[in-house]
Amino acid sequence: MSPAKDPGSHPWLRGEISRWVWRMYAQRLTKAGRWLVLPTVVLSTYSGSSLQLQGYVAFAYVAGLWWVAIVAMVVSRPRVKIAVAHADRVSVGETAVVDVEVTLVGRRGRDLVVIAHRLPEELDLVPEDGVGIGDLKRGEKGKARLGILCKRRGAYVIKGFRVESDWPFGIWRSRQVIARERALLVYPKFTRLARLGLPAGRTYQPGGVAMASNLGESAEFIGNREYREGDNIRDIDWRATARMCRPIVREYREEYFMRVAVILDTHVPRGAGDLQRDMFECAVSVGAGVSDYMARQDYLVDLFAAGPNLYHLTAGRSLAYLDQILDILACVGKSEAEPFGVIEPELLENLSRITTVICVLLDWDEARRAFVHRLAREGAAVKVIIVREGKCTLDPSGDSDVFGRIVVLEKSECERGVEEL
Amino acid sequence: MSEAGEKIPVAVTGMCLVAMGALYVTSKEYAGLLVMGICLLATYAVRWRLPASPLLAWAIRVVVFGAVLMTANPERRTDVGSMVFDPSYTNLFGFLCTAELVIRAWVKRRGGVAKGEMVLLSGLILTAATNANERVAVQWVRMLAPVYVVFLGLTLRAFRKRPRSWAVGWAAALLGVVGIGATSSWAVATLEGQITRWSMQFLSGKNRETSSIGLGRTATLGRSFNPYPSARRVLRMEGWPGEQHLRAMSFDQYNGGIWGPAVDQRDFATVPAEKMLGRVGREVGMTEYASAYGMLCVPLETAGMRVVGDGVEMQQDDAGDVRVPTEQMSDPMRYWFVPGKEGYQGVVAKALTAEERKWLLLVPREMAEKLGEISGQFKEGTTEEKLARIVIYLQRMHHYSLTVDPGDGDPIEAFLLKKLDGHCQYFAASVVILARMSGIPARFAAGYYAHEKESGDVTVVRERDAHAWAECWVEGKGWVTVDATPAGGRPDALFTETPAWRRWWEKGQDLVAAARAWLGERTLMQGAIMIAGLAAIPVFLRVWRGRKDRKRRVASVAYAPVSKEVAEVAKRFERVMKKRGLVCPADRTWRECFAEDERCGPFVREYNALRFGGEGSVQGLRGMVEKLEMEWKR
Repeated sequence: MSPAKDPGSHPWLRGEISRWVWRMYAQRLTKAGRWLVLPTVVLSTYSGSSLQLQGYVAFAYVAGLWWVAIVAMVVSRPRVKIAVAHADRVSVGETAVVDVEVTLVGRRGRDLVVIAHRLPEELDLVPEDGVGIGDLKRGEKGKARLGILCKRRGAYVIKGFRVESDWPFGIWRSRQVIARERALLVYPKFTRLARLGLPAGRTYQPGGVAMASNLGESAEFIGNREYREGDNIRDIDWRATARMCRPIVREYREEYFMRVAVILDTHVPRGAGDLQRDMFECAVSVGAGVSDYMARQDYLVDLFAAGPNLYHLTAGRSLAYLDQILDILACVGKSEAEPFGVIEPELLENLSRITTVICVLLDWDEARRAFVHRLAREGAAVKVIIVREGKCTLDPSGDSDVFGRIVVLEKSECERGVEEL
Repeated sequence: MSEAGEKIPVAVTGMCLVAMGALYVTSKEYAGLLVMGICLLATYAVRWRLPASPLLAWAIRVVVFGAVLMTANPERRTDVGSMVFDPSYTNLFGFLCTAELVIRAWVKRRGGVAKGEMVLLSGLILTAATNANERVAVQWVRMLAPVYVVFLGLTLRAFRKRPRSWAVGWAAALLGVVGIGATSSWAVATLEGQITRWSMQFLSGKNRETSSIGLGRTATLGRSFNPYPSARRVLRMEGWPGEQHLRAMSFDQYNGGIWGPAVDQRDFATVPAEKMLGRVGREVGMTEYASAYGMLCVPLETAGMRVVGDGVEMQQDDAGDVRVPTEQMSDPMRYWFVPGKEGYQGVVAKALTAEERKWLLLVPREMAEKLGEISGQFKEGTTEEKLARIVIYLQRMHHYSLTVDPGDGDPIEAFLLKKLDGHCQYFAASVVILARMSGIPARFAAGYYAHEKESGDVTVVRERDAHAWAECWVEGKGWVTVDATPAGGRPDALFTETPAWRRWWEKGQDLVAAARAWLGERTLMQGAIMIAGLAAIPVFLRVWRGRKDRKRRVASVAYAPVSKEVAEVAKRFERVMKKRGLVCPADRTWRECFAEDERCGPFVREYNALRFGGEGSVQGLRGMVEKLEMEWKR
């Protein structure tokens, strides 16, 4: 474990004594100090066995080194103020840049190092041992740029920072902990979808706003125009292109807003292995990709997710922004119980206003199939995306005639990045 | 240990060279150390390094270490207890560390010079170098140690790249280190004897003087007896539940408060085991954890003895003291004795010769004159009556006290004439003197009074149970034990409680000792099988747990696949339902549609239990469908 980590988050360090030992070993001792411990122990053991040997002479000098280092730790403890600036939101795999400005308020600070204090297990400090800012005089300022590598999605609290000094020998650290809690949201990693085939349901938004301003994929064709950079090549009207000898695309327009519900399956049973947890993360990433696509179109998006709380957010058309959807997706956790019992009442209450439901599921079994069938019976068009490694409990192709093609994504596809659904 | 071309920092090289130099000047055995030093310095001149291949590094190690081990041929010194402190071995170890250090210096390493490993290896080399006590070597070590620590300090600072720092403060800190080191080592050298005594006294209970509990070379009547009673276990008897005087040694010469002769000045003769065996019978197992001069503690009535090894040493005269030869002493020591009935005269209670009888009646003349009046009371009657009167007299006239101040002069005279209170040694010595003056041969015995029952017929004897008594010769009976110490002063009355933690600790010790003894009896093959068995346990547990986890995961993550038989029954059930006009929509499960139905409900529940929970049988399910078919047909 790195000295910047919180020992409480490690499964081996649950007891107070083990935590204290770990803190002494990893946080107080430097790398050089840890290397010096073993020869010191060997020398002390050897010299302690008999004073006839001269081991005690060498041990006396090495012990002197430790004594001076400990005294220096007490005497030269840094007294500083710090100002911290970093982004509040980053994606998984990104390194959040943290700028720390240190102002010395005490006496001379020697060999100062800035390091994060008790980072959660899912966040790594870059570099691991902090950043050195050298010596400072009273009132002088020093700057350090740290990185926090975010390994997992979630809402985290950065508890603060430490300013340490390993003067004079670099074996033992004196430190000041500056507790300054700041939140850091780590969004799920997702790739932007280039295309998302959406079935249109029978239910349109009653009294909805007509004439949506952007391109849609409803049946109403409004004309052709020249191809512009960024247009989907699937929209190219090849006949017109052949006639005009330049690329021409077909233009469609929605008559009404489409209100789309995105349902995220969060069920990961108790005792599930790493693969199931990874697949859940993939499902969250797919959900984020779908929400991002919706946010770029003229859709109203209703996000439903349960675990551990029920989340329902309506976003789009100035109601909310993608960031808020991603905030929810950053926080949503796995649910050990089947989540549909919680989602369904909330969804059915809103279903009369929802055109299409996109279900991001982790399996295709009786319960899920029945749930999706009920949605279809209520009149919503349903698109099913299954994120699963290996075979589903039931064969999803058996229901393709009802829901169209059911997309099944495997882990490798998710990690590669899905561009089209 | 560095990238090609990267030089080892000067401080690191200096630290290693100083450690190697210390080993060279103290050992003087390995001229190869000079070559190693030159090889280390050559890394500055040559930019080329060995490729970072573990295989190559190990091949070099095998060659170099093999060559060193084959040529070194260290001779084991007989005057050094452990190999760890034998200079010929420690020097070899230091040389191997030096070779390893140089190999690492020449091998490429990702991340630059590994200063940590250099610190460790140089520390080990210096430790090996300190195993010297010749005057010149000592001077060299004392001179090189501060130089080493200065380079060590520089090396430790070089672990992290750091901007230019406050050099004056750092140099002052280094000076402080040298000052502390020099002062501490000077203080230790000056107070060496005192420190050794303290450590013997406080750190090691085993080195406690046995004379304080009356089991020294001689028995000296001091001002106190066992002033700090310790509950340390010294003996464990298996097969003897009662109370017993266990004699370790006896003394028959008295002179000015000291009973002799000294144990280490007596004549002992080796007695073969078969001769010592004496009478065969039910044996009492003894485990002696702490021994005074190798003396074996047995009762006076011992009928036979058995020890592990070639035999025991027995005192030549009548004293009957038994000890094991020094080379046979072990920790703990195991032996067995056959208890005799009360008054039995066995292997330690030898019959008196005329010369020995005369010797055992000797009392210093001055003392005889001074105590004549007291001893005159015991002249009449049989031997038993005389002894009984002596004991009654002593117990009536004196009380028990752990401390006594006899003043100047003979302590027994003071004790008897001034009617002082005293401890067991005074009562025992008084019995011996008064008995001798009354014409009864007697001797002073020291040992333990066994009384603490551990469990069943197991008795534990602790250091605090040390005791002294008299042994007197009764015509027609032989040697008898005469303990005149008042009942309130005996160990069984003084020490009744033993802390629970100590008893548990001793049980743990016994378990470990039993395991060690059991392992010691196993052959190499049996040992190898046991190790393999032990190693297999975690592997088995891991596999078992993995299988269990996998089963649980499979059960919780996915439903079991539908078997053909179950699917067939399900289709049959659907057909029956369809015939009766009961159809479950595609978006509903059977449970939602049919669970409340009186006829279909049981089948649906049974089906779900079998399909999703793996409980029940297909036959039962089939029977239920057939029953439904029959019912509807009717």
